[in-house]
Amino acid sequence: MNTQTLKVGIIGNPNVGKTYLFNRLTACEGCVGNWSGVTQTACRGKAGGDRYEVIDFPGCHALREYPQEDSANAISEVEQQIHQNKIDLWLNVLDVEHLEKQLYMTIQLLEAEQPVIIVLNRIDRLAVIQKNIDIQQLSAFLNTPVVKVSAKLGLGIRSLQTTIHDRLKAAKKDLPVTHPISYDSAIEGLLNRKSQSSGKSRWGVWQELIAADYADRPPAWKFEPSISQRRLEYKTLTDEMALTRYGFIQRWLSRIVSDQPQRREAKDKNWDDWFLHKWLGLPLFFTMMLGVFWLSMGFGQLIQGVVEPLLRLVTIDIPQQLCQYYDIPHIIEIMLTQGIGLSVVTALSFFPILYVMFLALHALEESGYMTRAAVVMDRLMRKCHLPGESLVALVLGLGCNVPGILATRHIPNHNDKVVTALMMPFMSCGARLTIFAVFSSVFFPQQAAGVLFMLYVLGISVAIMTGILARYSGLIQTQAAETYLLDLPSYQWPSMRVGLRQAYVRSRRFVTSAFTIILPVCVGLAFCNHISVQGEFLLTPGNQSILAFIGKQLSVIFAPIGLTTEHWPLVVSLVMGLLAKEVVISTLSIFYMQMSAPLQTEIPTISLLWQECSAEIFTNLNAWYAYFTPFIQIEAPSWAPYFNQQHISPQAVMGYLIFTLLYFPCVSTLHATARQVGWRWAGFSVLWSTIVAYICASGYQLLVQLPINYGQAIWLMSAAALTYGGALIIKWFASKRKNTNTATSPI
Amino acid sequence: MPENKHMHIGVAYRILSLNNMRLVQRTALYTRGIIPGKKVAIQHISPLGDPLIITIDHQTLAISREMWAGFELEEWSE
Ligand SMILES: Nc1nc2c(ncn2[C@@H]2O[C@H](COP(=O)(O)OP(=O)(O)OP(=O)(O)O)[C@@H](O)[C@H]2O)c(=O)[nH]1
Ligand SMILES: [Mg+2]
Repeated sequence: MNTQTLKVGIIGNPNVGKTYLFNRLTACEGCVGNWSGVTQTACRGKAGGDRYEVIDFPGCHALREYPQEDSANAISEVEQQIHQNKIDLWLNVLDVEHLEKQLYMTIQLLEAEQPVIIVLNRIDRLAVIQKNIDIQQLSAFLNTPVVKVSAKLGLGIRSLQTTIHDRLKAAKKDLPVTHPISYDSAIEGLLNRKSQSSGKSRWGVWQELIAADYADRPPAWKFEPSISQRRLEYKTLTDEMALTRYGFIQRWLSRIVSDQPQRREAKDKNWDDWFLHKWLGLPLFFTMMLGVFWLSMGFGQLIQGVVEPLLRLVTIDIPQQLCQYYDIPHIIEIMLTQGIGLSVVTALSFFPILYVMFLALHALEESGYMTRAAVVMDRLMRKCHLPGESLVALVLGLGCNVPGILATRHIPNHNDKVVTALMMPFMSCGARLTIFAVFSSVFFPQQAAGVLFMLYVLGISVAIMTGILARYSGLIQTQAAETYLLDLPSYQWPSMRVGLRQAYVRSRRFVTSAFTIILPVCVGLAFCNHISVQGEFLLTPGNQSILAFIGKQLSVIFAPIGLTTEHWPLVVSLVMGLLAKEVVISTLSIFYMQMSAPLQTEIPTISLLWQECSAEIFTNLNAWYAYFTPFIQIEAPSWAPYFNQQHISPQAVMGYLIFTLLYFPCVSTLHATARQVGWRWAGFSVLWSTIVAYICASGYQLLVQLPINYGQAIWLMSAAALTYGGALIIKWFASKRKNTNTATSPI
Repeated sequence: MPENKHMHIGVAYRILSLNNMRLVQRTALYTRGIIPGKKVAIQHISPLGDPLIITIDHQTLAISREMWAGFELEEWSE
């Protein structure tokens, strides 16, 4: 009996519907989208009553037959699996539309002697494009089973499942090995000779032969008369094989497919006439992106305005009430409410915005516009050595950095992804906008819009600076892409049902994993907030808490920014802001309200709590238009007068705002960054953004307080030197890793 | 930067050869079914001038001007 679960791999060109099929076969929810490269790492899922495991691989155009130098992706997952013969059955998904180029990889798979079932997907399109495919002929040509399905509509899945079962029942070695193509006798002879002498598989020998095309010094067999003769006709063996394969495919396809002239491109072309128009293309891009960003922020915040008070009621207010009722020790109460409760609220309050954002993203991706957007912006971003996709991500980052970072998955090259992720924290998000709005309403009521504008411009310029520095400092290796070849998917209407489901899956996945970081941070902060330096428990967070102590100590560091010891609540709010920028204002309100008026200590009843909560929801819903207005007039908070008495200068407030703008946004962004580009770069991003924030904010103080204060200038210079040193260390670290990588790379 | 002299939008061209290109680029084209003898046409030039949008075999692709320069073409005649 076979104790190991059998492995079924799904393979095919990008965007043929592999993940749709995977979702049909398993109960999983992989990401789908109408562009190439949706799936980036293999997903696994049990199927067929747990008898076998289905693996959804990222799409690829062909199996790579030549060795590649760059160590980052020396060998892809698919190639590794083929190399090690680990997969018991491949489902080669083919889209009915571009059979010719897709069969190229099928031929390669068969030459690599892999067991294959051909899955012909999107048969629902056959009628639309007026095409007919002779399945029997195709099956005979390839000597493999062929199954017709429509993964989207769920047609033919049952018969595919039975075919999979039948194939899996037979032992792998009993399946017939076919080489659909017979090559020229000279090549066949060479193949046979080499595989006999080296004991390698036919595919292994192929790879060796192909590698010779890339070698600096050609091996001896290349000069054999029969082979060198052929080089007059074809430039290399690679060319010869590719063209021979296509020759065979074309000859067979003329028998298999009967084809009417297509009208489909006409439809695509009409849309493209607009979206790629010489003058309208760019304005349309910005309208689309800002529209998405603005609508999703508006709707997201609207939903948040309803959900958040409810969440707070359930996870913080009611537990607190119950704890007090049952006389549970305060420390436990605080941990329950301020630790666990607050972390649930923080994590879940991201959910609405993420959800709406992902829904909008899904619509952009499914419709096919996303790729066009990347094409339109490509030239501009190349000036910063970045692909067009990174601009799309950065614009989204203006709404909330988290979806912005997650949208970097569109970027094909890893290094470009890293640079974009490093730039992201400087794109001022919606939560930071609230902070700026509150502060400017208090301190600069006349120039509020000007201050906001300046902060946004500063953020974007720092982002561009970061991009340029990352490139020219040599921190991240760049190489001009040798090939720029992008498939433009055809336009289609996004399906609402799939969109809602996908947005839910994506945002839930993010929120649950972000929770694992938010929880400990929240508990830690609650602890520091309610324990005094002497170790006593404090009922109300105040002057004596560890957090206040840390704030006062840290304010020494923040002196160049203009904050002094008496401004410790501001410093603490910066620390709390690491949790989420939404917390900053509420932290300040806690501290300053305590100072302006003693806190009420009587226990409210649950019905009172509910009244307060519903009143808040009602106010939020009533102010719905504010969410859709770009420059909201926020009323100065009730504790503002006290805040004003603190002798805090407008310059210091500006310093604080600049620091808030630039320092690392929040743990959720950190988590997203780590997921996309790894913890090393996420850590670097935290360091970099904080140092930049520090330098900019204190630089600002220096400028407005002319004549120059030398002590501060020296401070600044040493900070700059430190940054540079840090960058050098990271670079050294990166280069070291690279070396070890190449040493172990399999080719 | 080298330029292709065949840059007219909407004109069908026959691919004569891809041999002016580097092997890596050629392989990338092969895997998309772009081989000598095929009919190809530029549909659009993107607003900022660089990637060209071409159609070949009912598929639409964006390709850099630099790669397009490596195509040896002639005007299509039936
Ligand atoms: N008409 C039709 N469209 C389909 C069908 N199956 C998938 N699609 C569409 O194909 C597109 C791509 O689907 P995905 O499952 O994301 O493709 P993929 O092969 O996983 O793509 P990558 O992960 O990028 O390699 C989606 O826009 C689907 O709407 C089908 O049976 N019929
Ligand atoms: Mg996929």
